[in-house]
Amino acid sequence: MRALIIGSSVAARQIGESLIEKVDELVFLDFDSYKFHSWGLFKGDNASFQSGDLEKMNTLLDAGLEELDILIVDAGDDALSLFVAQKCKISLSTAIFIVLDDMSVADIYESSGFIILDSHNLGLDKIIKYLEKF
Amino acid sequence: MKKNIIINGINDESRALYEDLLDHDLNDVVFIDSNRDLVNDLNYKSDTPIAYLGNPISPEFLEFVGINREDSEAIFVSMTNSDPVNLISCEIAKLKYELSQVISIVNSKENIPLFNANGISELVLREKSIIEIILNTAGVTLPVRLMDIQSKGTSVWSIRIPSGSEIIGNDLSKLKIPFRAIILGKIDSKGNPYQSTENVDIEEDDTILIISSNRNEESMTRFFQGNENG
Repeated sequence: MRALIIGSSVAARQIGESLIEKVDELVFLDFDSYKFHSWGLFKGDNASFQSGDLEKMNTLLDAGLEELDILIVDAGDDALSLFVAQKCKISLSTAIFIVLDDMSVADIYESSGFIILDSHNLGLDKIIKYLEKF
Repeated sequence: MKKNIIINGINDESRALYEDLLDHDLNDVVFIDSNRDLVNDLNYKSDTPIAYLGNPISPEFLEFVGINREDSEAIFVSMTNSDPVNLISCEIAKLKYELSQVISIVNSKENIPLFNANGISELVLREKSIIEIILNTAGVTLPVRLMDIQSKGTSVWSIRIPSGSEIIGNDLSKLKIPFRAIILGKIDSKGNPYQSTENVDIEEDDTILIISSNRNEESMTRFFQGNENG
């Protein structure tokens, strides 16, 4: 199973730590890679990180968008996270989780097939339950 | 029914739009922006406060500035230099408040299909008016995306062959393209179509029809219009 986490927030790191043992490959992506350098997650051989303009399709494709099983987006602000998540929706077989600070628009995007996580109360069980299906 | 207009983003273009709206007696207009200096500056120059500071994707804020007024039908225009903010604010206006009139600037041509796919179809491409005009003046026409292959990140493209292209004179059926693509054929300057299997030379002002990934747009431009076609 291949997972991509877009963003380098505390929540993104926390999600990565919960996924690292459960996936074959975990890739992190953000505009800059400097935050990732201090993360212990990358000591193993199944985690890596990349950087690039998150708004560009080339960056997303280079990060392996076409071969993903699971995508988690916490890109820094809600507008960017929602935008990137919609841009990444190129395959129906990829589960897309979006971490939002403001849950007042969650219902709109849940009805479009995205799985919304509250940054203030991550509820990682949603992701774990999804992984258990495999 | 009365119309009230909400303009998301304070900049030269949105200010010019405001002047135009006033000329057409559409004066129930407010600006919203997340930049305090821009909001304060615009209000300082106006007789009455017309700009409000807040998060343009917050329903609470959008309701505060009148997106769901009962006595009026709102028109939402997003003109920021951020496509994420433009798209998401327009989606909320359209999907949560069911506005029928939602208009957006698109800053990057790459994002037009994304706006269209999400129901935001009243679009103005910002970079087109600058970049494409400059390039067209220079004799280069950017590839035109004719149709998206849904959910694949791939499109059908048309590319015009300019006079300076190194590819002129090459046999269409024997082209070796350095990226993954399917050439469907060409249309010559008189409008005659040719299949890609026909032994015909590529000529100036031909239009090549091709299927390729959206990420190859720049490669296509270089290969068909530049000097890197080997």
